Amino acid sequence: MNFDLSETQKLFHSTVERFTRDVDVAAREKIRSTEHAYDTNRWSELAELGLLAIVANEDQGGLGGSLIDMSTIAEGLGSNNALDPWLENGALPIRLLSKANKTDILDSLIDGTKIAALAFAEPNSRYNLFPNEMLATAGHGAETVVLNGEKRFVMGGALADYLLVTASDNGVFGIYCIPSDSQGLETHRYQLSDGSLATVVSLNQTEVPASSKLAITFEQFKEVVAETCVLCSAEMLGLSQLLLNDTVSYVKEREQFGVSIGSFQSIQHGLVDCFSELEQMRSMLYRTLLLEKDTTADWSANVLGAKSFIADGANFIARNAVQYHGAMGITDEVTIGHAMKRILILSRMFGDAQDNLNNYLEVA
Amino acid sequence: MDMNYSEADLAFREEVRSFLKDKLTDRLKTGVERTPGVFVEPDIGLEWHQILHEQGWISHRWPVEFGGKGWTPMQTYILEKEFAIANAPRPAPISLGLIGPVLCRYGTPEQQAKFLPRIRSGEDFWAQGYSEPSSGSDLASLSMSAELIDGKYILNGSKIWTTHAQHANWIFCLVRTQVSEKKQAGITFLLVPMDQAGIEVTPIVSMSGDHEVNQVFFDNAQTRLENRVGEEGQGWEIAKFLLQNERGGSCFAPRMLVSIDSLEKAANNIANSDGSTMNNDGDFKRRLAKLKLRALALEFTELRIQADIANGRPAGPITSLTKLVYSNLSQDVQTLRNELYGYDGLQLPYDRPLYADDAPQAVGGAAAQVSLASFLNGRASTIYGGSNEVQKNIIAKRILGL
Ligand SMILES: Cc1cc2nc3c(=O)[nH]c(=O)nc-3n(C[C@H](O)[C@H](O)[C@H](O)COP(=O)(O)OP(=O)(O)OC[C@H]3O[C@@H](n4cnc5c(N)ncnc54)[C@H](O)[C@@H]3O)c2cc1C
Repeated sequence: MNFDLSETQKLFHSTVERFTRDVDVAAREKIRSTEHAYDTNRWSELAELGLLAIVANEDQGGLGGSLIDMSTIAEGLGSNNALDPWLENGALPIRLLSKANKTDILDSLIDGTKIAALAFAEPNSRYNLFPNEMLATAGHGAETVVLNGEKRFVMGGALADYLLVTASDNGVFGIYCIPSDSQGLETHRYQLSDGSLATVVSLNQTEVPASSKLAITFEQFKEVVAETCVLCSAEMLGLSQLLLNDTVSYVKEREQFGVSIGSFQSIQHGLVDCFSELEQMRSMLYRTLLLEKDTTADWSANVLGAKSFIADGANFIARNAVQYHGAMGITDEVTIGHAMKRILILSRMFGDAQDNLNNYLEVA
Repeated sequence: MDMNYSEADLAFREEVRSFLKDKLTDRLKTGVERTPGVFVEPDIGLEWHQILHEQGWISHRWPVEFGGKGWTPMQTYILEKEFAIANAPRPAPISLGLIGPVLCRYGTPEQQAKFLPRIRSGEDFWAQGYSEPSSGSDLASLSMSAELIDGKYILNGSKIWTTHAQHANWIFCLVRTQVSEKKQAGITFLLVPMDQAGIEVTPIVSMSGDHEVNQVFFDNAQTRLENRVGEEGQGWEIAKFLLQNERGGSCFAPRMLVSIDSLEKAANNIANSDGSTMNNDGDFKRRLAKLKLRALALEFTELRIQADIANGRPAGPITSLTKLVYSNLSQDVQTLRNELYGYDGLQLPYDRPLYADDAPQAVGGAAAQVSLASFLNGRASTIYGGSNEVQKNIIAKRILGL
């Protein structure tokens, strides 16, 4: 038995660490205030470092990384509170296209020249993954499909060249990979809590080639979603580690009543509770990464249970980090608030802690 | 033990209700609903302030000789409850709830004559200059200096986390007039005009995107001797009086209960994953019910304190308990509210105000749009006005005798 990272995984971790280290709060603010709230030069760099290729299979021009490799990257991004949407605009769409073997588009995503976003959330379906409101119908010829409906919470939507839109064709699940400037497509941009720009996407009689439908089943889609939930968990773990480290340093430095506030027993106990959560979260992540995939459904339910557990822990740590920073903790000038706001997104992506727990109940 | 409404109470409730029906405009209500901050912006707050002033209710809690109403605790409670139900703005608490009572108690007749009417009319807007970069929970360690030269105090140093200092024309400050063995002894309470060369206000943006707090720098700023409240060295006593007012006789629960009820209503229109609505969701309903029970208990804790005060028994350190219970509860309500909105609850526009005509379009409705910013601002409630840890220290020491 051995829970150490392999040499390659350590290499990925340190690559990510170096890539994200220098973006402090001020640099972050600057990037967030640009038109797309991101610096696409960073995306090209991310591609050059192989962080996108690792997601796709080797026969598709990728590096065929394992979930453990990818989780190492996600944790590394979290531990520096990176603003790069690697998880939602890199790993997630590339994984989907890889599964569907959509190589013509994959190439441009792997080399970072194009960016994709998943449009799955619907206004009246909460966390349900099966599309009910986006409808696909036959187009004029047999060669086309017409899409109608609205999607929300399209993460990184403002950056995307391609949208992967989930839709129902008479109750049959499909994902359609369409250019983000398709006719009949309207977007409304809005800011999410991590400062990124999401979109509301409405499709009105948008006619696309039938070939834009990916060769992927609903079960396979759910599997990719579960994999992404592992990555969410890993990023939350990295963020939580960052929050704890920053807070421990802060309470050592900050003095009140002539002593460091870290000398107060209530703060010590509170931070020990955070540390204990963190260790439990790490164990849960490792357990998840090493789970045998007997059946995909069981595996997915276990993954969602783990995400629920890790999300609760991350939110707990974030709230305490803010609390122990005092008023400093509520400003936009320190990292911890930004980490908390990213955790809010990750913990709710593909269902909140309660919803994920209900998924877990099905197998527990 | 009883809690009956007298005929007079019922008549008073009718009066409050019809006043609200007449005077609380949609603009004001929207302003409250779409403000994620701890306090409403002055354009909303002051408009309502003026209306309350005309009605003669603005300073109802002050001593009668200074414009108070001398209402019974029941009447005060009725007013707060009706205002909460109607979602009325809360007029500037720093002016009315903090400095007003201080001046009533410690001010000279001249100070009272000058400042109290201007607080009541809304002409003056006050900021509270207590905290400093190195003095938060340990307030008595504060170091901003004031030196009396030729009938004027010369001020040097800085105050931080000063709520709405960007709107204020006056600030009351705790300053150090003497470096003494006992740090509480050399503190003095001064009233300082903001509009002068030696004062600079720099904004601090909160993680919600709101600009509520500031750092205020004093570089040889001045205030006249006649603007000192109490004697030199009496500042700490006055500060404690103010803090007790801030925490004591609170009436938090009515707004909390209204907020919980609104959550229940909102759930009727929010879709659940299975196609039904969230008001049928077992998990949500149980969490909501627990919050409601906590708020109902808090309401009676507050009423018990009000009744004690009315019966001549000062509230004392138990007010630390209501602050503690309320702030934890309010954070839990904000958490549930934000989670109710699902993905729409993750939007966080930085533009303000959100009730402006050119504000960004909300995704999933106005309430969803402000819920995350409210949640984030709400994290401050366990920090300001004495943090949770400080309140627990007070209770442990002064009530449990530990
Ligand atoms: C939104 C907001 C508005 C504010 N408005 C104003 C204003 O208008 N005017 C003004 O003067 N101030 C204002 N404040 C400041 C507020 O009063 C201080 O934040 C508060 O006193 C705490 O001080 P601090 O932030 O320096 O935290 P610190 O005192 O540094 O505390 C940091 C952490 O240590 C803990 N801690 C401190 N002492 C102890 C102890 N003895 N035992 C255990 N734990 C301890 C605290 O609970 C906290 O968790 C505001 C603050 C906020 C957040």
